[in-house]
Amino acid sequence: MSRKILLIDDEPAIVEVTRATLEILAGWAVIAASSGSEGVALAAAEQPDAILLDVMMPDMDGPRTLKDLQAGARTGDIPVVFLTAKVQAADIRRFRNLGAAGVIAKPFDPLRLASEVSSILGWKTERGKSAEVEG
Amino acid sequence: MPTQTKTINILMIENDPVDAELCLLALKKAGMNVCTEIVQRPEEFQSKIAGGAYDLILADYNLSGWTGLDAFETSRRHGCEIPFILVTGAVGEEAAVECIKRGIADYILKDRLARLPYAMERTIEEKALRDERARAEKLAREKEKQLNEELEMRVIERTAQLEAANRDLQMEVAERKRAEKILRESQERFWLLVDGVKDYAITMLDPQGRVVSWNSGAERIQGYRAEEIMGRHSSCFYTSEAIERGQPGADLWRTAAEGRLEGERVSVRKDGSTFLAEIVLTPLHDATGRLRGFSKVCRDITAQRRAQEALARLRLQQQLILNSAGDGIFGLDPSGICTFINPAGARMAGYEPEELTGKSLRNILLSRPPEDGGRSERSCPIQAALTEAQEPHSDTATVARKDGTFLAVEYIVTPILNGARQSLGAVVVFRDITARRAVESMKNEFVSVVSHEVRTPLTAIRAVLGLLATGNLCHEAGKCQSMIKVGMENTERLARLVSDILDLERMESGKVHIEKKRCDASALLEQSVGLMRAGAATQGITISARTQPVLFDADPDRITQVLINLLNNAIKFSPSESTIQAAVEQCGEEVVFQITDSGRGIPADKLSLIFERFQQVDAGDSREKGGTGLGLAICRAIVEQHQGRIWVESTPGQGSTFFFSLPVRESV
Repeated sequence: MSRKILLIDDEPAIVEVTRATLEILAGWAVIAASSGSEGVALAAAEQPDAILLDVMMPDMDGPRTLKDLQAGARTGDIPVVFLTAKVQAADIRRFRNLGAAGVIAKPFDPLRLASEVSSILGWKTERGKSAEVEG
Repeated sequence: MPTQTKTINILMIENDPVDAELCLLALKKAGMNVCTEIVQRPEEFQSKIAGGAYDLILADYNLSGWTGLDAFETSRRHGCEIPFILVTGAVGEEAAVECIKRGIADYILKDRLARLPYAMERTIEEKALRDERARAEKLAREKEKQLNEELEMRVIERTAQLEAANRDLQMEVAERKRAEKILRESQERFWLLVDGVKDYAITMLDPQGRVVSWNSGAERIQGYRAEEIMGRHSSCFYTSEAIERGQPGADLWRTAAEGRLEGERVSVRKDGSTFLAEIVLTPLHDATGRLRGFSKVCRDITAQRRAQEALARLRLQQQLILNSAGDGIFGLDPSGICTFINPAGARMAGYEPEELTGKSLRNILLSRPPEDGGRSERSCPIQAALTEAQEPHSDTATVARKDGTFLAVEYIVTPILNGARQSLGAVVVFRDITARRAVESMKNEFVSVVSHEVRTPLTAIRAVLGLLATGNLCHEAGKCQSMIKVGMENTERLARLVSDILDLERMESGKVHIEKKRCDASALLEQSVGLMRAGAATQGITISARTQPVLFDADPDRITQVLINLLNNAIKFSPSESTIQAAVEQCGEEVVFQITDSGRGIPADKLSLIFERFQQVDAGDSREKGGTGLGLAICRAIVEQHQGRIWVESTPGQGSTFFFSLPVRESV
């Protein structure tokens, strides 16, 4: 089953490699935003199945963006997974407490990224596809 | 002729009634008034003299079966003293003498009865005289006896008085002896006591100040034996300077005048050495108030004074340590009351030390941060130190300041225990950890930023390599090239980042050696501008240089690194078709470089931050401009290594000018 993923990250390189990873290896459709505000608007407009959200972004960081997403009528139910280089245990606890569905640490394994997202979100079918890719 | 008219009672012993009548007749003729009883036998006679009262006994000498002398003897044997006259017809001269010797008053011959009344009267008178004399003698004897008895009584009384007085005297003497013994023993004990005192020189002085008694303590302290010092003036214990000042006499005078003198004197021993003495002089007066001398008690307080001075020094040192300590230090008694707090501790809490001393600090030093409820009475670690001799510490404590704010502190409690490990209180040392918390926060933030800056290119590289490894990119040549380009750019970014981090760390830790040499500032600036001019031109940017020859001591490579970094930043942020102005000039003892661009400028709140690590004006600059966020931090480290300074002036929307100045001459 094809998924539509919204990737919010201010690093063009991360956007490019993550998009390639999910599109090529998982067959998901990836839309991207380079800032939190742009991401909130895009989420409302595109209604993705999930959002991969960077934490450290200028102007509007990941937690603030998550808060806005949760507050939005059209975005509040979209599951959000933090994709972040802040991977200390305290950070992860804090992100989960904010209401994120999960946390994936950078650098991530491109071969397992889709399966990790699926696992976090309970998308069993995607796990099989990832396993197929890995195989 | 007898004149007796009184009736005379006569007991007559006569066998012959005629003779008896003749006698009575003779008496009558003599005019004597007589009453006569006549007896003849001895038993009759005895009966009469036993019961009757007669003035006279007249007896015939020759009686029937007995004689008048027998009758006389009989009367005397029966204690009868009645005068006895014999009347006889004839009696020999010897018999008459014998009768007179025996006590018979007289004898009358019957043929000469006319003499009888005279004899009777004489006898009766003699008897009366005898009786009178006897009475007088008796009276005299009785008087004498009475006198003797009185005298004896008086003697007895006097003797009793004397004995009582003697007993009193003996008791008084005994009492006096006992008192004298007690006094002597007391004096002996007192002297033993005085002499046994080794730490005090106890001496007696006469009114002139000469030594009259000397105990062993005095010998030990002053060095003189008693026989050496007795009689000498006490001025020998004074220094020559004190003697010149008249101190010995003044001391005695003041003692006598004021009743007591206490003080400290420098005292001289026999060997000439001196010591600090504490003396007490007291005048001694007799019962009339006359000055008898002085008592002087002297103690060597040299060691005590040294100990006091050492203690005072220790206290001063302790006070200085407490006062100069940057940490807060306070003491608690077993009930948790503050016994002292040093100025730093009080200052941290916003109080004066006096405001906290004597108070409980439970509401001031909180064992937990206020957001966690401050403290828990039952689990207060400081209380545990007081009651359970623990040594608790905390790095999450808080001081509730007087102004209502809170101060993050750490503390350690050291209980004060006696030998039985009972708590006498505790000392608490606490430290303001606000700055440390800030540093820790900055460090965590820095680690987070570095982590982010490192992980971001790593993520890209890792993903690119992972994708390439799948072989799935081989079918799309454009995509493959694009991914490889991403990987390479991020590899370079990572390499620059690592290089800059290491460079900065080496410089900040002083591991980079600066090789100073004589440099020309204008040459360094022109060289740097020359290197950057071509790159700037590709973006339509011109660099102008205004130079002034200034010679100074510096590491030319490092100064060139700073100039290129600043020029590079200026190029990055300058709009196309703009000009960057580079200049150098000498200002006083400094050479000042400046690079001015006409870029977007820097907000005022960022001016003080941009020389910190990873503190860019815009977080996206590292991506857009290819920087690591460490360039200006490296520039500052290099300039500061040259004892210079770097700063920026900027107007947002118009541009910025970066300055750095270096000393022209190396400071010594």
